[in-house]
Amino acid sequence: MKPDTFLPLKPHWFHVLLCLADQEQHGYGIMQEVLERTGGKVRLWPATLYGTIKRLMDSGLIEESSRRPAAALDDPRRRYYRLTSLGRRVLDAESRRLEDLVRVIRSKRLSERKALS
Amino acid sequence: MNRRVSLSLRVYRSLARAFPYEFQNAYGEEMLQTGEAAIEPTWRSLGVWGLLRLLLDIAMRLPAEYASEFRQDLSYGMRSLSASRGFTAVALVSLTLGIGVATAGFSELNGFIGRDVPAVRQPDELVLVEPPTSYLNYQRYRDRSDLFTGSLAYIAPVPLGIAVEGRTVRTWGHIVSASYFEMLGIHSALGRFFRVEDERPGTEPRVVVSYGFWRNHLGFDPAIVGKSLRINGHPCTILGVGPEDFAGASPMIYASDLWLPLSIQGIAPELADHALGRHDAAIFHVVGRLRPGISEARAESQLETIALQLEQDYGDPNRENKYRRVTLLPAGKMLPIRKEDRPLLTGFMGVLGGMILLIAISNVINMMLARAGERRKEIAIRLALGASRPRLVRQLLTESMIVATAAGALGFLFASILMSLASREKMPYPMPLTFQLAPDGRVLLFTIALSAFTGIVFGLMPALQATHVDLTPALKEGGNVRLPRFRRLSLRNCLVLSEVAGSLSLLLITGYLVMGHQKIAAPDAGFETRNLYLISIDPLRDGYSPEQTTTFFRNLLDRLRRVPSFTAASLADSVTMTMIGKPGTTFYMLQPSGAKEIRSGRRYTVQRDFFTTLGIPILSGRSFRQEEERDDSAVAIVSEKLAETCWKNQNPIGRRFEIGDESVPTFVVGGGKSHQGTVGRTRVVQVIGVARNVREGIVAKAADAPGVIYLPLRPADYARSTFHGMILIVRAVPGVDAIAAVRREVAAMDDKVTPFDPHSMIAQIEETMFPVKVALWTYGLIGVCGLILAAVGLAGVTAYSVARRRREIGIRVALGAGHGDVIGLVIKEAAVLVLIGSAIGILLARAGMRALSAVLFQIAQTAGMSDSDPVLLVGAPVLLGTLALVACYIPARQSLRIDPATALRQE
Repeated sequence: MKPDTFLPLKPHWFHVLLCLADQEQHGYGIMQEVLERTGGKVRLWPATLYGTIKRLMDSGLIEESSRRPAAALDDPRRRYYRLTSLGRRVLDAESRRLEDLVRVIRSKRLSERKALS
Repeated sequence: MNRRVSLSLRVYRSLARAFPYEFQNAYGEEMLQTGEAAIEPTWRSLGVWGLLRLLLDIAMRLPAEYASEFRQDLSYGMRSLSASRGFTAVALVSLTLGIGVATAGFSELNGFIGRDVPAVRQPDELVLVEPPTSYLNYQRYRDRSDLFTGSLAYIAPVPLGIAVEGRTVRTWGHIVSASYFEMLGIHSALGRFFRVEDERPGTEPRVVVSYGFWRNHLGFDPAIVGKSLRINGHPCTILGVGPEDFAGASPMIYASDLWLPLSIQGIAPELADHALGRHDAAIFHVVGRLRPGISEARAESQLETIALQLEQDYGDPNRENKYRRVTLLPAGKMLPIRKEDRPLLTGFMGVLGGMILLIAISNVINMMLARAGERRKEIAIRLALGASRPRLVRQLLTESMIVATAAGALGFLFASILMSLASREKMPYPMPLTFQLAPDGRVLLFTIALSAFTGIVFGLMPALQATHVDLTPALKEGGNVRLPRFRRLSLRNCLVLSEVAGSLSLLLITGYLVMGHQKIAAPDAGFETRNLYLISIDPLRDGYSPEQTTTFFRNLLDRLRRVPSFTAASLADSVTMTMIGKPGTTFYMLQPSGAKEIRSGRRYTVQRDFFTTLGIPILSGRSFRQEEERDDSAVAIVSEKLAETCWKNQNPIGRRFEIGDESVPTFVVGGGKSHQGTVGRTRVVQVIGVARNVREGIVAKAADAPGVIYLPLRPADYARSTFHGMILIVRAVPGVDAIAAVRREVAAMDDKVTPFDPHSMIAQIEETMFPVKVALWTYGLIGVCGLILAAVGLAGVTAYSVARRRREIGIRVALGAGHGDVIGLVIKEAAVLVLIGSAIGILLARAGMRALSAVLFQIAQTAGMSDSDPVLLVGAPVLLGTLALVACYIPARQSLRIDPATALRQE
């Protein structure tokens, strides 16, 4: 499937994919990271989080990882997730889309300021 | 842990456990754990608000997850249905027919007894006093304000002659009490309605017109109020226009275009002869609005007491009779039917519609079971992969609901088209009967409920059976092949049996009904019907006085006798084979001892040439003479049937009876109970002759018709024209345009007199047979639907069972079985089932007919003649059996074409 068909990505999907971009994570970890990264502005409540994870799994953007941390740190009830290659391409495409958007906004502001001065 | 936190946690856990099974399987544990871990920090950072958000989130997620599961089921179901097109098509056809026929039946019932009279305020409070009563009685009922918050009285149907551009246009109206519109809660579209002062004698004649009449005849004139309309030859001032959807208090059988107040006594013959002041003039329909808290039964018994008291006070001739004087019917419904008569109507429709639906459903269940057998492996795999049984049942149910929903939509469409056509059908009657049978919101609800019920019924059973799988053998290659032995009482065999039995009994019942009705429809009237023509003339409503009318008719008959086109001509107030307004009468047979015995029959008032014109022989005694056509005449001629019922084995000539001077027309629809006493002024008449029986209405033989009394036509009868007017009967020379000739002669006498409703006697008989034809079509249609369903179902089921036996057939062929052996094997099993099913079906049909005959007189009369008809008794099972065998033969033959090696490998 083409990454473009998923765009624009729903905010929750984007946050989850972003959390998994550099590491494998379990659900609670994703929740914590999003909260920290957004300074408490975005809170993924548990049911919404697992609803999102289910849909990302069904769409093939993430998958369950079989690698687990050291036994001392591991909780056997937790499952770890990671991006699939499709998930990574979708995240890249969405990032590019957002970058383009930001660029447009910046250039508009620039011309606005010029017009004012 | 804080109390709030622990309470929230409990709620959170129970909500998490309510998630769909598959979601729980995959994420339930984690979600629970994450929630547990998050709840304390949430409480600390956000407080109660945070806890609420956490719970709200999971509560909102719950339906979303179920909806997403349902979407998955839906798309899976659609894929699976489109993969097996044959099954889908057969199921759709079966259920569409089943739901369609049931919906059409319900829609018809709803149109007759479910719908409220339009435009009326709170129709549920209205009760109709049955039978019609006198104005004096009405006044006493009206005074009972402890029972009614309001009441009204009206005469209907009232034919009215309206002068339009020199011609008389006949239409129908009501003569109403001043309370009529206000009590019904109607608001005028233009002008005003009647007030008490409009009712006083001597007031200038006033009229209220219907919206339809205003549109069709008065050109929507906005300044119409105050203008004049010539009614029955008299100018009447238009007072107002009714609202658009209002056609009177009884719009189905007495739809009204004009409403006249009680003060128009000189204009309407209905009110002639001081009808308002006579106790015997029981011509008023009375409607009351029950006071809240007053039961129908209480009002009924109170009115009964009043009626009995009045009879005693005025020395009514019927006062000694024991019968119910007053029955209250729901007047707010299109067709006022007693509550206890409702189950009869609904039962009849319910049985036929239910049977069709039952066959349709068992068709589909059969195929679903067969299909479920084929899907055993797919289901086993899904179960093995962790799908729950309820989940799979839901999945299979979704599939059946998709089919049921589509069938429901198609069925509703089918019923809508059928019922709109039926509503548009114009009945061949002189009176306008308006039906609105097309489905409304209530019918739609019925269809939705029926479809849901159907979907669940035919989906649930196979789904439960299919998911009850022993995994190991089902997963093995070819493991589903249990050589299907002939298991005597397997569910599927029972279903095939019930299907054959059900279809056959339906086919037989509808067949009996159709054949019975066909026998009735045979037009043997008991007299020569060819070259006999009937034309109504009503000079009273063309503006004549009663005296002028009498003279006019006598001159007309003299004139017609001289015209060579006619061999005979006569007059009558009504003729035999009339569907609407059959002239029923009740009379007292007088014994020589002076004792009175009550009897009933039909009465016709006829001019003395009636018998020669129609060709009804007088068997004993003599016909009427000219000198007997006087107001004080006291003679009558009776039919053989009446003579036999009243004076069995005795000479009827010279016998006497007491009869009222008014007949009470009965109506084919909505006829309440007939009067059980005389109506109008009574007089004693003597029998002077006996006429041969003629056919009357829906009976097969002339001898089955009710007894008839013929009375001579007197001047007083000309003054009281019925809604038929006076019927001129002429026997014409073959090849002559009799109707044109009559019109010519009438116009030559006075072109203001407008003849109406001209038709031949043969057409009159057709008119009588109209309900029979409708019945024939209805039963025929139901029968054909049943047959299609049975054929489709049997074919489907056998095709599947043969397909499942491919391997067995393959082995047999490989071992050297001939084609004949294999086909015989398949057909033998089906034939046994069809035979047993047929036997049960015949028994069921007979029992069904007995039951129907017991409750419906018409069916008892018609079907009594046909339920041992050999053509039907042998023909129907043979037809069904042949269909079933063809249905087995085709798949059996197809399976023979397959190479045994392929069939064996496939499994």
